Amino acid sequence: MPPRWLIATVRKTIALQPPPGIASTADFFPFRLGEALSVDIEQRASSIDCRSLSVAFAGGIRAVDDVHLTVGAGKILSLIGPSGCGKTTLLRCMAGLQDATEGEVILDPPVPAHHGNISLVFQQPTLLPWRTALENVLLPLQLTQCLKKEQRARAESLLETVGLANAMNRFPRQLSGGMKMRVSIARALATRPQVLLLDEPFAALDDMLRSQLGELLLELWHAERFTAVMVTHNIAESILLTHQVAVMQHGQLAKVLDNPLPWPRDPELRTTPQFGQFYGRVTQHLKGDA
Amino acid sequence: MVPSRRSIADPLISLAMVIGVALVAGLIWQLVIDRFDLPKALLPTPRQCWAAVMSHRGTLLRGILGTGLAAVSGLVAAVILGSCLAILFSQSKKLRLALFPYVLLLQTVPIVAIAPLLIIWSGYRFRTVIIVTVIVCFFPIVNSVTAGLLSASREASDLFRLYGANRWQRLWRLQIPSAIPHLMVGVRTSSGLAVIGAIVAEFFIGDATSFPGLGTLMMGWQALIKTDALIAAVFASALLGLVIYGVIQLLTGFLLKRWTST
Repeated sequence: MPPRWLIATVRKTIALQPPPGIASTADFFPFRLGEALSVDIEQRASSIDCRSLSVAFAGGIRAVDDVHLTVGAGKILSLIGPSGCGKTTLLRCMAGLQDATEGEVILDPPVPAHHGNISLVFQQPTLLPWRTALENVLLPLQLTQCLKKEQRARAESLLETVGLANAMNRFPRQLSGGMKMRVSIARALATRPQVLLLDEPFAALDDMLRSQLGELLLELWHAERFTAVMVTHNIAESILLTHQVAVMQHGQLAKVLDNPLPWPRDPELRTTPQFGQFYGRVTQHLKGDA
Repeated sequence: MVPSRRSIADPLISLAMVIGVALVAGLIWQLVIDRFDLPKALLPTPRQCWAAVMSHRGTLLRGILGTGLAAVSGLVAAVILGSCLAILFSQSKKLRLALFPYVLLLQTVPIVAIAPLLIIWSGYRFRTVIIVTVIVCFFPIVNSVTAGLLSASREASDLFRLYGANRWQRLWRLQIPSAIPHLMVGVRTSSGLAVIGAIVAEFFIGDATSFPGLGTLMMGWQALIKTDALIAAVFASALLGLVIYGVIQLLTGFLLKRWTST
């Protein structure tokens, strides 16, 4: 455990804005140093604990049925399963957008809901068409009443990080599908959330773009170290981007698999036997053969 | 940016075609009168109508201004009142269910049936013309703005819930911006109705000395069987409707820049 004075210094450093000429806090505060002090940085993130979580809809349909799931602080977990198996409902419960019929979602350390501590990236970019890219990123800060000058700088910095430095003042209709999703991700990170939830964020994009945005997500995770839960249908994506893969079937959690692939993740990992073996295991659980 | 040759040519071609159709219609009109030897009192020639326009131009201009002022005032009042009611409707489903049928009633009851009542209650005054215009314009505004306020997607609503937006923030930052394009559709629809409403109200007022609108002028000229002047007034009212519509089109383009610019 690093000494307290060092932790305090690092905290102050993280809170600082990058000096002129440096694009983002990620450049200013190199990733390697962040990894070395990950004990402190991960304290920003919350772990998610779903206890006996069930959601029943009218007509007695149980979209989520007695789910017990724990996502470690600063870890990434993917939820994978066939359509209609309850992935999105579970994610909405974690976001506080869906009330559970039974059970509860506990964040540790606890954070107040609806204050930007939990962010969600939707399947569609869901940008407001009358707002520019920058104004869309600023929206969560305006809603949570914490828009200050330095936060505007953070929004600009996030847009630079996602590669949209030259498109900040463009309206959503002037952006491509991939650019819109980048804005959506930047918006989700504007409030420095402890938990980032992603609901099939790359489903509508082509493979190349999907791969690029996956890499971008990992870069952002390295810099911000949030806890992330990502719903996806794509097995390769669920393996490459995460620490754990949770397989869902008929509203229930069929299996949570620890991802054996080493970090840092590289697209080249797809060609390794380890990747192939894990891919096979996930597929088996998806088919229910395991 | 230099406008392209096509962007300049298209409106000119469109204008030339409109003028062409008017010339052909005028020619047919003249031929029908020549062929059937119709009296001036029944159907004057285009030339006689033009002469009437020139001889009554001052009166017609005052009529256009009077009716135009009533129509625009009524339209603006309908936009303000209709938008406020639509905002209330968007905030309360119960209120919407309770009051919307009455708003619909304003649309379904013929304005000619209400106008005499309004004259009894409000008198032979300019304000009565405005009240009739408001009633005619009210439904399209309320209907379109309510639809716009309720048009936000589930994801956008979730986004606002996620960040703990209160009712006011949701209304101001999501619902009202979503409703602006719908409002402009409602205003465009109502702009034509506003002129009709104002003229209908003026028909019932009837006295051009107390209120110099196109409707009151028409009533006076009808009584004197001045068919040429009557037709001139019809064209003046059409012109008034077109001018109001054109201004609203320009205003729409300006207001919706954020929604439409590419």
